[in-house]
Amino acid sequence: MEHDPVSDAVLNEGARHLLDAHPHVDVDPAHIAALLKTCAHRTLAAGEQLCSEGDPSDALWFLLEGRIRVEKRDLHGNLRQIGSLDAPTVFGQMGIIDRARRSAACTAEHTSMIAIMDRATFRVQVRSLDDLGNALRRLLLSGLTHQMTQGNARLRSLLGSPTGSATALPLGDDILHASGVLEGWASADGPGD
Amino acid sequence: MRIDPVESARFYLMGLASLHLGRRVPDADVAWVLERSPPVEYPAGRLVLRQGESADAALLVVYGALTASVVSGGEERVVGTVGPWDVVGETALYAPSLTRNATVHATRDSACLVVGGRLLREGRHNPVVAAIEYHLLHSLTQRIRVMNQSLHEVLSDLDGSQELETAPQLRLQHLLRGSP
Repeated sequence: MEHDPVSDAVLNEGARHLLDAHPHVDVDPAHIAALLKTCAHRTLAAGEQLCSEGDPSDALWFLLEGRIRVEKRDLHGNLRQIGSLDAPTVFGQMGIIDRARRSAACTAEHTSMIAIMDRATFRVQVRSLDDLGNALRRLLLSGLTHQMTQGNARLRSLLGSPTGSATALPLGDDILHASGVLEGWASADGPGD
Repeated sequence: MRIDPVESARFYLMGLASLHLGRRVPDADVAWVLERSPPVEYPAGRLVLRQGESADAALLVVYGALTASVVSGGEERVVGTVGPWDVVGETALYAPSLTRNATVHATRDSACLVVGGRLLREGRHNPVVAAIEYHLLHSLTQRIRVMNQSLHEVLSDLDGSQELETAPQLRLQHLLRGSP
């Protein structure tokens, strides 16, 4: 795997920003930084594809800088943008947990820096009893909880109210986007926001 | 014959560690968890969680069955039943500002381990706690996958028309109520 050199300062800052984005994780930023040091690092050029829909899920990614465009084929096979991910964030975690194939294609929208945790490292770290393993599990649990609650919130907003007295009918695009939010490929605000 | 909840919880935790960590864990680590989070028994019919109340813990079902229902428009609707190895209310651990979005009752004599943030923090070097966290990761992932699959089924209903008809919309609403 290509491995671009990344300074400790960048990893430390990335760790701090990741924790800012996950306020309930409650771990030492130094442990997240140490986790990032176990990863390979790559700088993606604008337009460079990270994965295609249907690829095996062989890595977990930390987006440290930049933005990733997320696209998925609709029922007719047309490629549609379902969202975008801004740094700092963790993505690709569901596939590496349940071994399902990638559910969307990811492409750098502009120059982006990612830390790549391969499957073998993930398997060791997620079972580890040290501070790094603890930090990884907490970060992923926080991320999945965020996906779940944001996905629910997006669906509720589409349906009008939490009690189901809907006033507006959602469109296919809306549902596709809500699906992207649930899978962690998009923010709850709207496609491409 | 009465089931011993503590002994059941001990086997449950050892099984969880074996499943997720691939190894047997020391009895002392299991005992540490059970000391801080002893299994809570819920006889059939007992209220377990109430819709709208504050949430600060997840429940791991050791044995029995729990049924979730929501009240909407004055009408109570059952949205699902969970059993052994299932987890209920796990979003409370990392989104503590949320309230329970369903009411849960025991529909059989049941026992659960109540897992809160404190247990996870204090037990961060305990392999049983690591196994519980790994179980929560799988549970959340599976829940999201199932929900997303249902969304895609709704999407396929849209094939050929751009707007949802009433039936798919009701399915969406039902879907939203499925995660206490």
